[in-house]
Amino acid sequence: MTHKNSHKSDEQLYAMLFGSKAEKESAFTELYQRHSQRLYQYCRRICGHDEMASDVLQDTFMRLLKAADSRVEMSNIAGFLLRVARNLCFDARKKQNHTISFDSMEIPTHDTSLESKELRHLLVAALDALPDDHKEAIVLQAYNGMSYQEISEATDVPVSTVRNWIVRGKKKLREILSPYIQEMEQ
Amino acid sequence: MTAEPNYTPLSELVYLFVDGETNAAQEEMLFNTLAGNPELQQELQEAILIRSTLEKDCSALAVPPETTAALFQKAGFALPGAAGSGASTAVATFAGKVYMGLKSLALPALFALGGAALSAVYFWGNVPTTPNASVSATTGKTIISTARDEVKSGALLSQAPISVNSQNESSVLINKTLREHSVPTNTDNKINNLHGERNAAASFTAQEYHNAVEFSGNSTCPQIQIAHLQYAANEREIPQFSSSPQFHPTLTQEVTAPSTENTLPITVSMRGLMELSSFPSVASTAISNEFNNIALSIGYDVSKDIRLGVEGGRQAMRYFTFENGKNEKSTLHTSIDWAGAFYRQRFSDLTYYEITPYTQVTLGGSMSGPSGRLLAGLCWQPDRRIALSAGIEGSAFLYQNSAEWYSLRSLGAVYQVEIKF
Repeated sequence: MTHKNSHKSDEQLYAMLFGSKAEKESAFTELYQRHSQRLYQYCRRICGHDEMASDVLQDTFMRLLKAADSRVEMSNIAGFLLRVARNLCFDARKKQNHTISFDSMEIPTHDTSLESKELRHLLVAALDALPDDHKEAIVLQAYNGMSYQEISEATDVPVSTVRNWIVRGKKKLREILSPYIQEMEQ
Repeated sequence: MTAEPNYTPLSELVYLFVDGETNAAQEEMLFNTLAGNPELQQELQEAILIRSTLEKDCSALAVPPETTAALFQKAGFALPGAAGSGASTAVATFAGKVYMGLKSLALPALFALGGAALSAVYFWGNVPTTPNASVSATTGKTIISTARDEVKSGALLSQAPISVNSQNESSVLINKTLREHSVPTNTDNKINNLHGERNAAASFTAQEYHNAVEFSGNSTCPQIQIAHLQYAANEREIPQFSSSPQFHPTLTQEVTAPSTENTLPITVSMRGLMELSSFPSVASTAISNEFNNIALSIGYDVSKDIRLGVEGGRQAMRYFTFENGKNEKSTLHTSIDWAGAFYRQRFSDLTYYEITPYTQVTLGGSMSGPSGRLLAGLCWQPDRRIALSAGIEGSAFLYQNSAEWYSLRSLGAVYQVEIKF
């Protein structure tokens, strides 16, 4: 049922959500398969927590269904989903008051055998310590494969700002991880 | 190309280049500088490493199956097969399905073995120890046993030697009695044929028993009539019953097998379920490690064909409960406990070789809301105290979310062991 919808655009699938239950289910399944992975990765890294990311992902898709039920016209489904997920993530983070400062980060300093997996964990920890806008821009770019221009449109900020966020954010990541990367190389 | 070459520091160009956001002029400037700048080379290497590490982390983040299941349940849709999973996950899912499928069979199989063991223990504990009952494990043999008792008691052939366990000798005695009472040859043949079949089958079937009853009722042979009447007397718990041949054999027409001697109309049953399908479809990982897919029931036989009772069990079922009926906070459950009252209808008119079709309806509830079950199957009763049955069972569990009702439905094969007390 889903396979036959794979050639359809997001907008065509969204229009199918107005139809019969079978059509709705088929279109929803395809939209979910198309966007859930990237959205989850975004939510997971922005929220920093599995349960919260799962809740946000579910609520995001439920809002898509509600929008369809209300016959809301939509031309950019991916943008809508990201915007909803983004707002929900920030709301959830506010509720949790989830902040990590650089000072509170505990990164091992004497581990000379850093494996790739450990580096990944360190990177994720460092990512969590970045300012929200820097982190979000990096996540959208690295996890969701979005260009600076697309990130600019999704976040409603100029491209130059997106570029600055990403470059500064990555410089900060490098600053944190550089000693360990160098140890690993040795 | 978002950056102007003249205003972008080289260290920033490194990151823009790694992200594919530089233009040709910027790249040329970067490469020219890189050749004589080891620090910039190092920064480029680390920028590439950071990006590749981020990508690895990205690919390691898959949507948890329970998240997908919860969403589709909320939406009231069937769960997609491999939503949000890549090829490697699909392979893992297939392997997981095989594993979980085998695992799902293991517990019900264990339960069935338990039922079989229980049956074996029952039969072991009920092997007759008294000589007179030694050949009465089946209802048909009871006729022979009682006939032999009559003979032994001296009613007709008091001098004849009786071997307690020898059915053949009993047959000989009966045949001898028939001959002495001038039973026609064709009737004698019937008896012989009947015994021959009996010997071949090692036990009577219900139909054989019925044939024997009919034949003895019409027979002119008092021996057979006595045997039959005595059996009937046992059935009806008549304390004294004479072996005198003048009793009218019409009583025997009302006797039906099998015997319910010394049994209460109370039955305890254990049932195992093998799930065939469910809706919304459940991911393979939905089968939990908990003790699932079993049911226990106790029933009262209102009549030969109708049983009423109560039952309860636990079923593997992935579902969510929501705090305050909202979606904000959900809790995943992998099994559902249910209980209810049942009505069971046997169709004994359709009995064939001791196998009787039946159907059962159960109405009750679970912690999620009302539930119902419908079972149709076949019951085999090899003994008056034990019955084994198998069938197909459909179950439905209703639950409420945001003021709307949804249902979880499941279809499965069941097998059941019943013990009558």
